[in-house]
Amino acid sequence: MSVDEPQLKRRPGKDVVGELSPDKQLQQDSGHAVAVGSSAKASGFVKNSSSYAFMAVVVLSFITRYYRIWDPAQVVFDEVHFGKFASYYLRREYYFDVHPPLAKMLIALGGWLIGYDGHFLFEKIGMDYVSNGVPYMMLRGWVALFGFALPPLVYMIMAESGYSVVAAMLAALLVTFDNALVTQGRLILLDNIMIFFMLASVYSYVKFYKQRYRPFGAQWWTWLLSTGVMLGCVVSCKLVGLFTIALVGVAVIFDLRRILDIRRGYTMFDFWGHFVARAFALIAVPVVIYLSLFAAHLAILTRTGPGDAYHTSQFQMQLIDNPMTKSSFDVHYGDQIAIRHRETGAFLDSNIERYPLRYEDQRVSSQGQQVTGAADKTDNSFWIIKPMNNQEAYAQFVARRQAGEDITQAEMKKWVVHHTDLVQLQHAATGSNMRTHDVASPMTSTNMEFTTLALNDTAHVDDTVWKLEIDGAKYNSTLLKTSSSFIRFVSNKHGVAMWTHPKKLPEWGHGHQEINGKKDPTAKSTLWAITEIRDRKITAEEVEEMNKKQTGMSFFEKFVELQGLMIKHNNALTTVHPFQSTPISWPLLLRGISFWTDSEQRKQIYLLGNPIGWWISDLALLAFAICLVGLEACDMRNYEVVDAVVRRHLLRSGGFIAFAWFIHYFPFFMMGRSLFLHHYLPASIFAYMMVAACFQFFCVHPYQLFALRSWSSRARALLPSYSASLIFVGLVAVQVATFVYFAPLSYGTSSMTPEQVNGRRWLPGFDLHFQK
Amino acid sequence: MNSREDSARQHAAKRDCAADSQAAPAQQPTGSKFVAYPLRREPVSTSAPYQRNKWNSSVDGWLVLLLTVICAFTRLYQIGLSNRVSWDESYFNVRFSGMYLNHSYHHDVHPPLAKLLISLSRFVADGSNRTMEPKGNYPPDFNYTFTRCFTALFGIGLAPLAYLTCFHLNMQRQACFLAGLLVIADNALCVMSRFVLLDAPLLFFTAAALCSIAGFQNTRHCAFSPAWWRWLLLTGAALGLVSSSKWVGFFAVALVGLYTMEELLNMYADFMPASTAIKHFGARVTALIILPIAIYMASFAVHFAVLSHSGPGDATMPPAFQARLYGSKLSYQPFTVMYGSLLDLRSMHPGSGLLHSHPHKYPDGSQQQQVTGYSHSDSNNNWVIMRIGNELNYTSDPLLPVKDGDTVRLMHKRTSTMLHSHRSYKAHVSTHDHEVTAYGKPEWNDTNNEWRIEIHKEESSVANGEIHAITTQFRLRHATTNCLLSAAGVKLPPWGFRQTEVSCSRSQSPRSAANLWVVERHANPRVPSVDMRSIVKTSFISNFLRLNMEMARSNNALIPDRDKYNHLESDPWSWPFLVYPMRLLGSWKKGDIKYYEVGNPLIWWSSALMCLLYPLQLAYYHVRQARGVPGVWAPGEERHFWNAGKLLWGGWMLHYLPFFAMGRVTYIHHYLPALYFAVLLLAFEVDHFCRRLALGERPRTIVVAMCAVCMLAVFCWFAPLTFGYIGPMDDLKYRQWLPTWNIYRDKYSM
Repeated sequence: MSVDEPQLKRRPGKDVVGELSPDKQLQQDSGHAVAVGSSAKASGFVKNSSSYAFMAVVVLSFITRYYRIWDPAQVVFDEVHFGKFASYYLRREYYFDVHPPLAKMLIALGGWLIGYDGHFLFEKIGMDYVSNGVPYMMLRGWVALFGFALPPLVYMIMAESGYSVVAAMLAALLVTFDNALVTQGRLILLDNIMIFFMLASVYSYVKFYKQRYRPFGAQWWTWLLSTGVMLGCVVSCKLVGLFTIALVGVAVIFDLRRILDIRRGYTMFDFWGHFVARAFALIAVPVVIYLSLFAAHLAILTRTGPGDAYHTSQFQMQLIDNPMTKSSFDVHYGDQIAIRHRETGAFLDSNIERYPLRYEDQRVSSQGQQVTGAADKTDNSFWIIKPMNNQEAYAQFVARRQAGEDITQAEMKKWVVHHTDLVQLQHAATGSNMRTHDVASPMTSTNMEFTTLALNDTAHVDDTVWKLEIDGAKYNSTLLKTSSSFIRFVSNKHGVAMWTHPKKLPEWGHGHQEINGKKDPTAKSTLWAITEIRDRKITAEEVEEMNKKQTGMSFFEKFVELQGLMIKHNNALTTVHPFQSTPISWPLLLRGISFWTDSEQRKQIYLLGNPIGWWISDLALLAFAICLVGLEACDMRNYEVVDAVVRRHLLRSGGFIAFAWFIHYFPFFMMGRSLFLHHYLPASIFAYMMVAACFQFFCVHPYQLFALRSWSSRARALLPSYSASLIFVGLVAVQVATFVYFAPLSYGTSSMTPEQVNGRRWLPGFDLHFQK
Repeated sequence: MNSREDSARQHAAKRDCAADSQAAPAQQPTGSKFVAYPLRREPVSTSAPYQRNKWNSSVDGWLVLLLTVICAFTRLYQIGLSNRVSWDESYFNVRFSGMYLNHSYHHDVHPPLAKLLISLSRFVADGSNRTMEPKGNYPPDFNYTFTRCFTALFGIGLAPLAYLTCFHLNMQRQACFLAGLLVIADNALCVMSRFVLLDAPLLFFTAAALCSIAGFQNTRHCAFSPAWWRWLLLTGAALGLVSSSKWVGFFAVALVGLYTMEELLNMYADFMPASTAIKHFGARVTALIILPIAIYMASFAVHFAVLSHSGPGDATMPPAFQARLYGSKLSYQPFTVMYGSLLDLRSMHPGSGLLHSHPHKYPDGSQQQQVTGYSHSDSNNNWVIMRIGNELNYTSDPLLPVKDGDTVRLMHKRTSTMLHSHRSYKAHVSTHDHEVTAYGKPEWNDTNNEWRIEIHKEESSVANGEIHAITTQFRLRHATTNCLLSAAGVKLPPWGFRQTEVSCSRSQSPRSAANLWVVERHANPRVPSVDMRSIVKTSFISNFLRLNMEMARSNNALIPDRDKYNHLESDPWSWPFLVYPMRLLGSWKKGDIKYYEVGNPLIWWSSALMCLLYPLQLAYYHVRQARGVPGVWAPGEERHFWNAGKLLWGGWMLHYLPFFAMGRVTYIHHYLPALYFAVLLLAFEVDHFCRRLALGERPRTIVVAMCAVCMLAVFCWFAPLTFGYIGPMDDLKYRQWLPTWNIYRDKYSM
């Protein structure tokens, strides 16, 4: 079992490792397998070293995170968003964001605890906190608690995973002195909170896994449920938490495969017990937490706010004081209405001009009157809505209305427009009916042209009949209302829906949008709304009635709608940001993000990892990959290169860390949205852990003597050899030195001369400010 | 015991076994007791297959013949019924084959082999190189039936290949025959091989590759025997042929590649001696890498050799290539560039095009006239090369050649503006560079209009430091800011008409193709024109690489427009469930002969089910083994399940999943290669369940016969749409099995 003899040894059979009996394995896992004589001789300092190391990490972490946390007294980077959201929680005004609510609610909770009322809206980077009376220091201090907890958590995870005091401390110190984690860790941002829950889930899972020979005990249940709760929290902070769930999921699959092995002596009944327990704790519990946090989110945000516009009208009408209810009236036949496209905001417009006979691509038009989408509402934007049935009664009704006769409410009710009514739209200014027909539209040759038809042309009346469909008619009443009804005009004859897109027509169209008939009438982009009824007067009773009726929406309906919008808008975050970057550049740290600048005092905050630390951790990942392939290759030919216990620990614990890094990094390659360096921060922590794992594998021998049983347990020895201590000290010293060198960029507390700035520009991609 | 020597003896013993000799005695059941984890596993890389099928001519021969005859009937019946140019026949039977017969150079996204074969058949059928209308009907005297029969031959070959493949995967004969019948009875496979399309050759070569890799696997216990070599070389050849037909063939290459990697890994784990392992490795490199590449390149060599004349595809290739084509305008022009010459300058960066300007302004920045890269020939590409100062009269003064190191000015001929750059404005897309504009008049002395010529390479026999048309590559360095005129193929926003950006690069990478320019067209009435063909040299390799790059570019440019509703395209997720079949003809009126690309729903749905089932089975059997449930497998059967299934299921995955990642337009027939694997997997699963249920010879035959009858009945039900349907539309109502099908009525038709 000794590792001192380096020469290759042939094992008798390849299954020595796999064939360990559970008992023997248990002993090894808890570090008892090898009786080490020196343990009795260890000094008191060595015995308590784990506690000292932990304390040191706590103190250093506190210092790095809270050093001048009041500086700068200005809004920095995404505090714009997250500070603002916290304010909205405190004002209970509805806002919309792509991230789930937990982290923002926690920020708001901090604000609530210190009595902040949410009066400040964090509108721009660089706005002053002091003059606006924001207790920003307390807010930052509260959020920094989560950032402060990361290094101790890393220490605990490593110690629980059976690494030595030195290796665990190495990982924790690397994380403590990482510039990116420090910068991110002391501002009002989400990532700290998310990473905190992520590490807490990993810690809980490691604790749970160590209970595997005492299944269904109190400890086992505690840590299993704790894992589930933490996973629920991490995914409620950011959807990136799904990667953590995947990490735990894969680990659970491996664990279940272990239980399945007949040689472990479990029955199938045992197996299903294990399966159900895990499914409950790791699937049901997170789902419940996720949903209940959304329930809390919706329960807090009851008032109308900036997020209204993202939602359907039903949703908006649930909010207190929402403007939609106030402007929602019934539409009657004969009304002159303005119709607006929901996605592009263009008004349905027509004018006396006609389509040109021949387009640039030589296709021919109908030369009919143009129907276009105009950016502004003009006299040309009004259309009279007419019924297809009851033409005579309608004519009478219109005549009486125009004569100014008093029409009773009851009779008016009869002329309200309904879902699935067949209608015509008459252009108020030119007096012709909107029509579509079998001619290709000017710019989209697969769609049908929209034009108008003179009233006296009876041969093509079919072309002018529209079926009016109200989106989501099952929730609301089926009556057509201004503002709150989103509608489609589907040609009754051709089945195409009125549609427009942001492409502008050429000169002959006066820069209006093209309107044509889309052959897929169910598309979201075919929705229109009626914004105004011309000359409509509102009576007092109408207003009163509006305020009364509010059709309810259940929580699940609201949740589904909100979740769908979050995913849609997250994928739509493709606008180019000057500091966005590609995933491939993250581990190499090719570029940072400018968070904040102060040109008068030449200060800046620039998010940048610890370059040396990140490059070392890349090397560690590479070394692990090589070890993995090499050890597997040797194993296939039954060569025993390293001790079986060491090998198993490396593959199991190191493999877990490597997979954690992988799963928190690689999915970003498949994402279409704009990405930023701080998306790599969760993975960077695992990369640092990998440095410690490699340190342990290469430098700490014999493995078993140094392995900790838990983070608070007694250590039996501290440092394996002078060379190992030298490597440890060297790594930490380099990390701290680099950290201090880049600290002015991370804290933004000191002015820098151009020479100082340029000295820190190690790579051309570090686009720092004030280089001249 | 020294296991290394032991295995060396084993490997040596295996070497001299004959092709169809004994089933290895080591594979005989050694005991009925199930061993969960054998301590020392059998060498899997060199052991004989489980229950190896033996070829029996009087049974297998007749079955193959029978399948071929039935298949020939379904593929050829009424093949010449419609004289319309159907679906992509307009490309393959009319356009490209016409241009191959004309020798006129053209560009297409697909490699040339299959198109060359189609052209050959058209040459035999017709002989003339006349041009035909790409739409409507074939001319009455054109023998389109012959060319259709020719591609149908590939379709006919599919059924016997399916039988042979299953035979080499060691399935029972009934299952092998079923596989052949399933291939015959699929309407989509049938209809797509009845027209002159690339799908039939592609499917045939894919099937050939699968068959030969199965045969290769089946001879693994007698490595380096003639049979082993035959299968290995056949695999390589099939891979070369399939990738020369369509790039989808690379998925077959990936399948064989993964298979080979697993095999080599097993050899390593089996303690194969290094000398033997190296021989194995070398044989595979030769047969599976070098041979396919040679075939692929050879098909391009033939392509270039046949297309010796100028044609519509010239502009995609570099000027040196174009100058070598007969009838190209580039092949006869003045050689040495003199001051006052009219030049078209092409960027050496592929896809950047010719230096272009037009009377439109930049929307911001300097708001001067735009300079862009444009790939089509146009009079706005003409630039006059001028000396600094205005002392030279270009019509009367003696001619002065343009030399390396000269400082020159370039005047845009149509607008009489000068090529200009300045330090004060950034380029519009590549913001690290300076903006390039067309600005100022020829008589102004503006140093921002001056460019220094730096010759990079002279590729003709005359290398005298002068600029020559086509052969001289040079840089244009801006005199005042020292940046390089550069076109890196970046697309401009709509204000630039989607042309490419031209900027002045500060990056100083003199070897970058973006910074190199060449004179493509040269006109000067005072200099005599020469035949460039004798001067210009091109290498096959560079032409080959360039053409492949251009193919990739145009392939990626086939992006679907999501706003246009199109009833032809369909998304990959819908294929296995046959949600959106496709009309092969746009015209679907009364009296038209209608062809509908719908698969046999029974085959498609059941095969999709099997593709989902196989990984679950693997997991299930793995768990059973872990639980030590006795009697799961007869010895050797475990490896059989993996060895046969992995090729079929892996082939399905590799031919299906990549389409999800593709940005280009996708059609339902892109699923056909994957379907072939899925159909074979279906037969494999039938065989597998027969084995699991331990059915005897007779019940097995009955099960297979019942399957076959059901499939054939459905085939016959949809056969009218496969063979061409003229009857009344109302009869089609009952063939619309899903609401999404547009067989009877198209919801969105105009």
